[in-house]
Amino acid sequence: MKNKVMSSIVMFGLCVAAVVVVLIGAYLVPLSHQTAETNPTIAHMRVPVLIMGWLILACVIALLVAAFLLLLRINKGNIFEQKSVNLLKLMAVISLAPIPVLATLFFYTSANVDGSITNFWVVVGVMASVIVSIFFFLLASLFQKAVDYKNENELTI
Amino acid sequence: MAIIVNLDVELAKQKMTLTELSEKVGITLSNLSILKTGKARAIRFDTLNAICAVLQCQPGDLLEFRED
Repeated sequence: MKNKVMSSIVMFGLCVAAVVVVLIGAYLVPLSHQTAETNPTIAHMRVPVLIMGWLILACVIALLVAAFLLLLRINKGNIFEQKSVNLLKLMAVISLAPIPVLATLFFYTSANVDGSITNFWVVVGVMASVIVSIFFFLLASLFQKAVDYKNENELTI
Repeated sequence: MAIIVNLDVELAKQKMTLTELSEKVGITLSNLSILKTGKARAIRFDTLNAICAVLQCQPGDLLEFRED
């Protein structure tokens, strides 16, 4: 019962996070317009950078959806099953997905703007992606071991 | 698998069904079925002891090693 309450709170948190991400995505549009107006020399970069921002946010949304599905499985009591391991592996791969987008952003801004401040945030983003991905891969391998032990235990008569 | 479970042979000798054995030994039918079909990965001494007691046989009668 306590676990169900906890996972329900986490699920609510995930929903709030998804709404916040969508709002950030919507906020990027006026922000890009504002930036283009204040810096007309880089106004031509507005749409490509906006699309890259949306792609990164789409990865975050996908990660939140996968986490939500995993929590649904935990709520149903189907925790240590192969599908949970597969979901964690998927989350690890999704965590790595923003890296090509960030790399494109890095090269695009470097080619167009000298000493772009975007480079710092790209490095931070790549580091965050790699760390989160490693965390999910570790969790997936831990779950895999648990699933193997569970299967072995179930087949011991 | 190299270890063969001859539970069906011993059941036939005692003219007993798997359901009867399940009731006498106190192991679920599904677990005995896993054992009988050779899907089990391991068997506890307690289980072996209970089955041998009911079927009046030796562990060697139930388990057999065959080279692949």
